[in-house]
Amino acid sequence: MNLAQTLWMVLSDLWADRSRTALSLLTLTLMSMGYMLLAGFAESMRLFSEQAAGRRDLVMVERGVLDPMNSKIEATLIEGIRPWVEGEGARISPCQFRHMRIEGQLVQLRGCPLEDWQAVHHLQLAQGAWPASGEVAITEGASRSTGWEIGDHLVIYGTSFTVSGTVRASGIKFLAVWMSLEDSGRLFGATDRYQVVMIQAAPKTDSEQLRAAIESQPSLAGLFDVMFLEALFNRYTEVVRGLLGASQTLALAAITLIVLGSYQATRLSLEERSRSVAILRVTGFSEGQLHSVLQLRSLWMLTLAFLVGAILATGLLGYANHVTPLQVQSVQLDVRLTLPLLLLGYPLSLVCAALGTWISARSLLKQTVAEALR
Amino acid sequence: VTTVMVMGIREMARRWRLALACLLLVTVPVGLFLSLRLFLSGMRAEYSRISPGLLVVQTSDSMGEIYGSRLSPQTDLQLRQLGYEDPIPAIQDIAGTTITNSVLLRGVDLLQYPALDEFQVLAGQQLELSSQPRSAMIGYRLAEARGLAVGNLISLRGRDFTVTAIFKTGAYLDNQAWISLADAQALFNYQQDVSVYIIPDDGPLRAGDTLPGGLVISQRGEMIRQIGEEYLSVVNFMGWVVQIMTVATVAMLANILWRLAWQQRRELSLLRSLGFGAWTPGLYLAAQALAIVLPGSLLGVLIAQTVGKEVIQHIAGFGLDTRFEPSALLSAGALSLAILLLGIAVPLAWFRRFDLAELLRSE
Repeated sequence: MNLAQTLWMVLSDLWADRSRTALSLLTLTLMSMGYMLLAGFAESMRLFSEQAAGRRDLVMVERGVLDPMNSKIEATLIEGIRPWVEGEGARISPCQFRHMRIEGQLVQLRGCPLEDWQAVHHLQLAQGAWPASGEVAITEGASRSTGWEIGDHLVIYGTSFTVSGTVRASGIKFLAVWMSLEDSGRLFGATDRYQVVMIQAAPKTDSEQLRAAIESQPSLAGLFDVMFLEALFNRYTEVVRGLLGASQTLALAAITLIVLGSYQATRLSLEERSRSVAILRVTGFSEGQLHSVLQLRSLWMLTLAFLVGAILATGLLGYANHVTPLQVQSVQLDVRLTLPLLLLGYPLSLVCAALGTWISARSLLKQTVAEALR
Repeated sequence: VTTVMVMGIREMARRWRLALACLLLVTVPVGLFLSLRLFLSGMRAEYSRISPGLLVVQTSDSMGEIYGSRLSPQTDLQLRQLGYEDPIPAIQDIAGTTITNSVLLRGVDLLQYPALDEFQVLAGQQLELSSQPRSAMIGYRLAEARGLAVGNLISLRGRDFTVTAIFKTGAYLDNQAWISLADAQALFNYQQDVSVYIIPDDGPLRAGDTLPGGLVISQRGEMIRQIGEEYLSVVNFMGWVVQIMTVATVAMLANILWRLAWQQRRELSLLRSLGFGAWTPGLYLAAQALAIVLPGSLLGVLIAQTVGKEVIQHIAGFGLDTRFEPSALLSAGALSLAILLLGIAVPLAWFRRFDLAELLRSE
């Protein structure tokens, strides 16, 4: 029997028992969906916790603080090192940084010099305009999560600001409100104090050398840490590592459930068809050939279930991201099904399905033809 | 009834591998559902304690009940002018450089702090006016996490404090270290500043009021409750996974029961012709479903109690007191019942389509 005939036989078999096939498909589809949702969740956590930043981006914070919000860097210190740092070809951008409740939402407030937003902070304007005095820009994630729109007025620290635009930031999707350093200095009555200072090394500079050189500047007196932005991200995202491990384990557990789904689909079919199987064996089908037919049957079902599951999961995640976005520590997690996830999940599911089929078929095909016919 | 049920269970026992596969699948939604309930109840118990009679004065838009607020002694004067005789100062901050080595820290007024939160001293001597400087009371969870006992040293921002007592409140405070206000002011370089003032809710100020200088009044505990609620979106997401896995379980159970009943259709129709009632197929299916769902659900409870609890301790960042509430167990029971009934409904509806004569002819 050639491959086309085998395929036709398998499809006919599935169609002949379409009600049972439908229920088995439903089980496998939902199991695939369970894996996809959990894997998408785990992936968003992984991307968040392994956030990479440019190797030229350095950040300075006060030594010994957990949250950059608690860091204090006097403007005089920065002005003291500015000529030397800029002499090395680097850009220096002092910022004020706070976690705040604005209109009931916990967000980050970042006050940085407007001229550095694109060059140093890698912001892109998504909609609207860059803010003027008395205006702020919000990240796309903040807009989606809070429903704030361009033209809305936000009361921040007792002062009303107009949202002039939405910005897109590479890296972690913090729910953030951005304003100019002048505005934030006026707002908090602290024009001479920052929380973090971003330093962007010149393209061909040795960033590590620059980092070490700044940190050891005598004027900083060992009171500040200068680190790669990535290191600060890692410190910040440590909180979700537990959630990442748990979600990865759950995703793995979900995919192994396919063994059970595939097992029951094959087992039920074989139990009801013991005579048909015996007749096939009488007509010359070997045990190996029957295993192959069953594996092909399982592969068909799993492939269809995986495809339908992927479509449904994508729709569900799109809906979830829109209606109830996942939010942890003022960071919006965009849960998406990525191609690598599907490319990893499909063969894994196939292996699980093949295992389930093999376990269920093994004992039944061990029967003698006479036993099966009885 | 017994005959039909025994027949159903015996048939299922003969197909124990299939039953086991379905039983394991039942375990998943029940275990996951209960784990989520454990997490939620833990969060509610520890992060939703509103102190009804107390207000917190803090910097506007800060998270003063954890960190980020700083008030000068001027605020104390302001409050006294408003008629509050004795505003209770406190410093709330986080010591440490990473999440793993961080400690939630509270600087307390040694005279008044026992009136703010109920606590039980598990070991040692609570902080008093006569306590030595650099003494600390620590929550029992912090003590467990760091392996600390009374008399040991705990390093806070690079300075060693002696643990004088270990306390328990049953709330997130069990992850905190309490030191005297003066020590906290020195530790964080606050001079005479504090983080918050706590005042009784019987004066002119109400939650939501503001004061000049960017101050806001809020109900004590409200901020912590809001932070706890940040995890709700994760719980909701996982809730969807539970629902999907529940439907998958129902579909698998229905498929198994349906096909087993189909294989036994002649026997069932014979029973009916012998005088057994029309309920026979329902009872037969119910017995088989029960043989799968009941042990599956019990296994789910066991998994939530062991694995679920352990996972929750890791994902919450700080320890959570997780214990089953009766309502959680009842809800899990309802979920299992729903799986059982829906699993029976499909094969039963199918079975009812055939009359007795048709079923008897089926061989």
